Amino acid sequence: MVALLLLARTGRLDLLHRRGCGFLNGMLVGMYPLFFIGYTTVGTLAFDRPDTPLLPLPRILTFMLNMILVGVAEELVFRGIIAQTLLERYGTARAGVWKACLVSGVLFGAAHLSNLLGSVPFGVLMQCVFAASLGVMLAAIYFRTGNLWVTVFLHSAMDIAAMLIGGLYGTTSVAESVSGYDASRLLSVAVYLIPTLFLLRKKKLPEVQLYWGGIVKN
Amino acid sequence: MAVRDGRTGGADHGPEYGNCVERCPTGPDCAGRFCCWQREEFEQYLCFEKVNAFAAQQKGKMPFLRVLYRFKVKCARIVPSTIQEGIPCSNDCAKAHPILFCVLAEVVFLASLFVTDLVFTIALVLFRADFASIDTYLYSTLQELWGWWWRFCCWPAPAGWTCCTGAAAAF
Repeated sequence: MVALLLLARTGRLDLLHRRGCGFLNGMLVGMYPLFFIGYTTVGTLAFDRPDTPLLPLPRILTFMLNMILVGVAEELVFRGIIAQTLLERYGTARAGVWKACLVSGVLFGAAHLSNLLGSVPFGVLMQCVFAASLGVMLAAIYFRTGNLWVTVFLHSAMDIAAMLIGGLYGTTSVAESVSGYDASRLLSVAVYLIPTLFLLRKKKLPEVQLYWGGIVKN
Repeated sequence: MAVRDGRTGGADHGPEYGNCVERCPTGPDCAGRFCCWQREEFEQYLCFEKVNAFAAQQKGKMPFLRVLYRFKVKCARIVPSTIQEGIPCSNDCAKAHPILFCVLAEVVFLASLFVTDLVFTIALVLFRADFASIDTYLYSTLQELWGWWWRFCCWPAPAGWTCCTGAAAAF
């Protein structure tokens, strides 16, 4: 509700209808995270599956719906409002786009500090680092595609893949999953920032200017 | 001033009058216009020029506040009521202080999650629900769905309330 209210108050409700490069083309831009999601899902189901039976279908559907709604709400706030505001501030020049991506990513990571209320601090810190680098990449995809629903889909799919065992078998809660994050999560900085370098390469910056040049004053 | 609202107004004032715009009847000194659909829906007249002038004057005093006014109408004259509320004017703040705005947006978002969580927990306690048997994903989904319910059922603001910039957007 707050996400929608903020969008309305900043006159950005139109971004819910903005096509940008289109959803399917956006999927091509977001092919790397899609591959990563597939890899995580297959790996989890193949090697981490517990012996307990699957949860009833309604509970699995609730888990999926919850992850989708969380993805929508977070994307509306962190990409639709925060990243776009920063892009409007910094402009569509290369440095401006990078600044907007990095600052919005840091804010996205900082938002996960709220998990300190229920999880182990070190796990939350690792989650923040992971989320910050993911936030940078999602912002880059949003700027490249001009379509918010692409990042909503990727974000929701990533959440589902990350919480898959808990959602399908009910063996672990979100708080327990976060508490289990170790230092290997630091690798995510490279895993997400290297593709971001590729996404925002010099050759592709005209695409960002095409979708955002009309809104942003350089 | 162009009328962007697509609704046609009363029977006498069709598109040939610019979609129900006519001269303001509040007095010979006013060159403003009012829109008759306001009269039909809210039983009040809104003289756009006067509303805009008043809103701009108030906004000048409080650049970071968007002021909501309820306009009482008496004998086709607009009288700003004493009921006035200020809410943060997000758009102005976003342009003037983008970083501050982003941090505030994040804080408001997280605070809303916390408050909703608290309200739902209190509601569950009041209904004497068994916390051990509650599906945490269902619990969280209900919190999220509440926002979408509000978006589709309660949007826009209740009739009779006019936002200063919202009023400008209406025409």
